[in-house]
Amino acid sequence: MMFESFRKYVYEDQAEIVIVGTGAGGATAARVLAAAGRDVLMLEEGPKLDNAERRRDAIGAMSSAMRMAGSQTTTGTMPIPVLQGVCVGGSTAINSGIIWRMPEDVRDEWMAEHGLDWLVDDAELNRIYEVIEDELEVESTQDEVRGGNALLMQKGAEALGLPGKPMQRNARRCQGKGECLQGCSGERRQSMDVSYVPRAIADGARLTTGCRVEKVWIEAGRAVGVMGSRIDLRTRKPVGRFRVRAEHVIVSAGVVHTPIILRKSGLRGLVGERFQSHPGTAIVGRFPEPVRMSFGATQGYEVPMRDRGFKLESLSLPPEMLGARLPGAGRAWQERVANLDHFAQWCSQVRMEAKGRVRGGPFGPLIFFEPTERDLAKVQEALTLICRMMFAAGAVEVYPGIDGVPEIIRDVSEVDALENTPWKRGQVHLVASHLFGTAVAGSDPSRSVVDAELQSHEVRGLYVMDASIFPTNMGVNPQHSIMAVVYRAAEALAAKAEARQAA
Amino acid sequence: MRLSWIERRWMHAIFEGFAPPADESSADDRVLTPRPGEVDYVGGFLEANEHASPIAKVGMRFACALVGTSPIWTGKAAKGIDRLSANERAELLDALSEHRLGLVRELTWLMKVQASMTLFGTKSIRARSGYDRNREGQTPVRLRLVGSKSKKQVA
Repeated sequence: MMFESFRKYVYEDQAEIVIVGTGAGGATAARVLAAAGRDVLMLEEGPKLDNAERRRDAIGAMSSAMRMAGSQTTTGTMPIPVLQGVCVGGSTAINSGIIWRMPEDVRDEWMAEHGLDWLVDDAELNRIYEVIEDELEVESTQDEVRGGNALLMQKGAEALGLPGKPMQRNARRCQGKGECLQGCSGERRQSMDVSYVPRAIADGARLTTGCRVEKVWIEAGRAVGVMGSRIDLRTRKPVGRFRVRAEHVIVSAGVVHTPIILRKSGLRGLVGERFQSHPGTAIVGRFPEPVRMSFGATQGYEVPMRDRGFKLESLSLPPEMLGARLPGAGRAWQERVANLDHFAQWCSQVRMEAKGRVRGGPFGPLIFFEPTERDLAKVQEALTLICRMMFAAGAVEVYPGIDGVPEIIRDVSEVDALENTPWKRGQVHLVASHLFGTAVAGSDPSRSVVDAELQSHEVRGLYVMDASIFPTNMGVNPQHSIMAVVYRAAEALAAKAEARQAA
Repeated sequence: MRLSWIERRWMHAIFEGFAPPADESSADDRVLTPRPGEVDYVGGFLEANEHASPIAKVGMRFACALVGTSPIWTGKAAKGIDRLSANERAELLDALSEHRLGLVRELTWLMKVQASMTLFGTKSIRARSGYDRNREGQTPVRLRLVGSKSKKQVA
């Protein structure tokens, strides 16, 4: 700390409450606290992207909005790319806006095993869900914008008697442009950059971009601000140091970076532990009739199979990513990619039991995560089910994309072989975007990092408000649950700050 | 990220090998064939890797070296991949994607991902891929409500 006073700061500021990150957690906290009249400053490492101006090509979209351009991976025998947004809105600016309330069994476990009764109080969460769903314009994906990819998935699910349904998304009046990943140019998807961040600003909050927070400033056991590096938004290189003083610090930097900030600040215990995820992968099928993945909601239909430990989703991707999933090289590949409108792609999200850990490393975060054998069995079950759905929907070729099995399957009978041979570690290319844990909440300080109000057990005035606080994963898309528990904790903080000011 | 002269040659040769180019006179409508020079593969690679993780950058360089020298270590020819004809490169890449060593298959796939990213990121190629075929006219006019009671008006 003594060396800090010798450093020259290119940016210094102060606020009553400083919030690190503007994703689902940080933006929701800002929305609640600013509406309550608190003096809020949001710090965001990445840029504010103009959705109408965002690049539509995959390289441009990933380079500008994703951490490490989407190349961040876990460490282990099967590296898993971990996708996170690094821009105003965080990962809500690159996701499909899928909305799920927290499942009852998850809520029950959080209360029984982690003492989080106050945080997930049924009546309070329901009140908050309704507010968020109203403000973020949540609705079921309408038929006219579901698109061929999702409609075919529905056909496959119905043929097999699976419990599918159109997705609930925060994208009322979606135009089906299929560009959730690249930024909704019509701004129908209510990601945080077009909803809660501007709303908080309208209520008096401030936003500073290009601030990579590295540690929490702690004095006498209390958080009094944050400090870090000012970033050139074009090169992403540091250009100087900054610090912000505040009475309350909220860290909402995401499941990977929140624990790194906390550990650099001297917090230990379970910080960085119990990393969990819903990794998944996708299967592509070729259909005789045009599918037209380019039109329709990026994700519009889902088959929740929580009892089996996974969820299946339609997933339309840009041609750059679709092309890479098609087998062959040379003429065989060129024939396939000349008809990219004939392919459908559906993915799985697997609720894995594996627990990992996050640590800072010399070249970036280290995410240690190793799926268990049972996790891999769930992946296999999910993917073979997708293959069956593809054929049930009329596919003429299915490309499993599983290393060591045939590249092309032309008959449903071949799926049996796929199902009956156990897959080995490393055969499947997984991707993870739903992340949980690393600063878990709980009533017992020996088993958690923050309490039920999401305040650190160790450092007063320090709060964690993002999916890091989740003591378990959920088996459904987490954005709505993140927002709901943060909303609840932010309301409590607003009341506390009010009382502190009055005193 | 700076590439050496040989890395540039190998990268271009590898990426181009997945979809060998052809002159308009020899183009076949049934396949997607880039015209010579139509796709800036190396430029696309450099852009994609500008903000990539250090480990990913090392991985791509290693993949480039492995696939670039593959004619030699597969016993196909005593020269780098850049000295093979386009069709020879395509055959070799197809074989590498089914190689008995998982590392070779994985790194070849990594190269294919990069090739696909640059190829379809090129507007003229995307237009010929059929991806956006018949898209025009499908987007419904669905106007947003203005002044919904639940929406706070913001600047």
